[in-house]
Amino acid sequence: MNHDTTLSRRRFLQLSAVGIGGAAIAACAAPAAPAAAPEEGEMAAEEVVTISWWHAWGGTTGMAAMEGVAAAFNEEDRNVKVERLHVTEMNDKLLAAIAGGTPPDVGVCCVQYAELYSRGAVMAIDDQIDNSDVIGRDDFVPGLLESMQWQGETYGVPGFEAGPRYGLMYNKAIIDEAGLDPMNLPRTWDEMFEWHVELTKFDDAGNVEIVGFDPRDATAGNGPATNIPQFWALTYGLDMWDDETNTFNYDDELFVSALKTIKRFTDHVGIQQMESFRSSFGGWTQSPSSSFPSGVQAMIVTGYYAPGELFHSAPDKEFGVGWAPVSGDRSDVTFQNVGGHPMYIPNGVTEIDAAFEFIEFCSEEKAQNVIFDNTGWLGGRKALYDPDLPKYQRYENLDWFLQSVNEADELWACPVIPIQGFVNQQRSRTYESVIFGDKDPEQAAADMQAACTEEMLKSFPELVG
Amino acid sequence: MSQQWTPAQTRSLLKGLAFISPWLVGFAGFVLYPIAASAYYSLTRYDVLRPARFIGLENYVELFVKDETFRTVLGNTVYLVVVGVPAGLVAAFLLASLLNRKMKLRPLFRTIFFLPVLVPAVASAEVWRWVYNTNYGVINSVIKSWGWAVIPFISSMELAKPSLILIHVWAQGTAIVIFLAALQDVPSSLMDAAEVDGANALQRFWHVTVPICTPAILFVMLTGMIGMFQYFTLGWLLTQGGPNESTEFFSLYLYRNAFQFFKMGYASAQAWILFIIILAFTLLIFRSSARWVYYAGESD
Repeated sequence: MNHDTTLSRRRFLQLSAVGIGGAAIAACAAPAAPAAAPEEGEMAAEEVVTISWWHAWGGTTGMAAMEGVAAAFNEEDRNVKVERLHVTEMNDKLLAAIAGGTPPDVGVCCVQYAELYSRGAVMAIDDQIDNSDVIGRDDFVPGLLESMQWQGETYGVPGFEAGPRYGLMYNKAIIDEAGLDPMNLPRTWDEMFEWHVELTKFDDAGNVEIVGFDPRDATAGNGPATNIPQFWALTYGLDMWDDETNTFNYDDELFVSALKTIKRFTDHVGIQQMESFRSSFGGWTQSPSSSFPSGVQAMIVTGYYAPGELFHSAPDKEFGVGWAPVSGDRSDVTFQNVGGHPMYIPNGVTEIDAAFEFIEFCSEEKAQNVIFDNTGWLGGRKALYDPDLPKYQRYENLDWFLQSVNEADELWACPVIPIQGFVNQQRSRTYESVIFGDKDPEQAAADMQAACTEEMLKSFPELVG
Repeated sequence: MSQQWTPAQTRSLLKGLAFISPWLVGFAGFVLYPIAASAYYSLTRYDVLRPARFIGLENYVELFVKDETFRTVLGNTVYLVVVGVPAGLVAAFLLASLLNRKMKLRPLFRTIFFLPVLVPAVASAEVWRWVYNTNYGVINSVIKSWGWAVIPFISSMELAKPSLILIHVWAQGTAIVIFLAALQDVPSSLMDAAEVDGANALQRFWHVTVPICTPAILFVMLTGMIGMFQYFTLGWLLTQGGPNESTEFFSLYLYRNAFQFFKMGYASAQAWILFIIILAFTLLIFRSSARWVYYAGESD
């Protein structure tokens, strides 16, 4: 009988491998069954569904709004709870999550929605809307829900931030100092240019101190949303996108005229001075260090969110608002555009009802109040577009934006262009190639038309007609 | 007489493979497969959300023949490499030479010059954004107070790339450490011999110190070149490719195509072109190194 108890290295390794393998298998095994069946009350508690919600908005006010909405939803007596996640670079991460089969149950802001709709990455929610007691198709400002539709199907619901986008806001002090009459705001781009010349100031060394109007700031210029590239076309009366044939209209005299106007405004300041000014201050109205809130830019084309943002970012300044300028032959036309961020459910989500319940909640007044109180944002519901509601008096000029939706001669919706990201890049490139003098406006417009058309043909050849 | 592959050797091989299998799985899943997949996707029209469609070499043809931005991007990136890598290398070598001298507070100075490496890129970008700011920046505030026109560091097409290169030169801490190690290996006997032969300080530096350090210079040049071709973070944070595409570099454009334009196939083709360019530059530098790199252990 062999009583040798020594362990060879080989034997040790074999046993170790078996042990590690066994442990790994055990770790992968299903969890053990509970020792006893739960009581009825416990059963009900276990039926609570927790959904994940991704949002891209951050910052002090945005984060407070998101946290407030999640808290308000979770404190209600529902079988659905929400877990909130602030996601930066949302487009990249959502794309990876959808491709990997692990999308959030609900998403909002700030992705290229049209690309997701047109590629089947988010689900059509027409059935949910039609069966909803909370959301009706006529509940929203005209055009908003349409801006969330692709090929006749609805992919999102206006929830957090949606509304009119085009108002000409001005700094009262700068206008007064220049002796201009805010009761007679410029209606055409020629009049606007006269104001721009009056308001733009340089120091003795030629450094720009105040810019009258930057034709590439806020909704007139930069940003990913579809109503931004739309602005300059619409001021000249051009619909840049034909959603019947899915073709572009950039090779049009009206768009060429718009490019010439952009260049004219920039040339007066000087391209280098304008670039330095923009790079130094940043744009839009949310940050106190941006040019308009900090009082070094007299006028800006921006949206309904600006009054609330300026309330926080420039509390010591006064602003006014009026219709955005148009081309000379449209001087009697007022126009407005509505658009915003849809709440959507990615494809592959299993808790669809729970996800839609959260979307319904966000579109209702309770959540809307939380969002408005923190940020000044609207959600697009017609019933809440009453300028006389006391809460709207908090932000000066917000009433103008609310009324503009009903008073505008033309109310445009954001187009849904399935290659929006590409078009945005072409827009920036086109504007820059013109203002830097690389191309004349005619050539730039033709090149943009050609590039966008070619890209559309490559990506969606079956749709171009 | 040929050796037979014995069962024991097979078992030994299998056990060895079993033990490195975690690494093998990781390598296969996270390196080999993505490389193979990107090679395939580069031959397709693929937007991640819909099935890939095979189009042969169309992406490559479009990049070289039709895509104007790609030509701009190539030019910008080559500029960055050709100017930025030597600038960083020379600055790092000179600073390392200074820090190698006996002086007071030497550890403090070494720490100061290494600190930029430890600062996160986003923090660096914010600091430099304010340094370069035309209205509030450290430099331009002074210039404005003198009544002069400000310097548009990152808002001018001419100055944007050099301004980014200046930040690169500022953050040469890792190269400085490598050069310091190399400089400490320069034999004092050689320096003494050169001095006895009448070589002045500059001649000793050029004819003794630099040749001895050439292996380290080769290493820093190669890694710097590879890193510079992949330059992304500061360009993205500070200039976003502007003004007028003057800082649109290879990786920025690749990223835009992949994630903003949903053209993953096109971006994959770009990635392979970048790989081939880097490979070509690496081979070029390696080939040329036989002429200028001195390895002390070699017989000739």
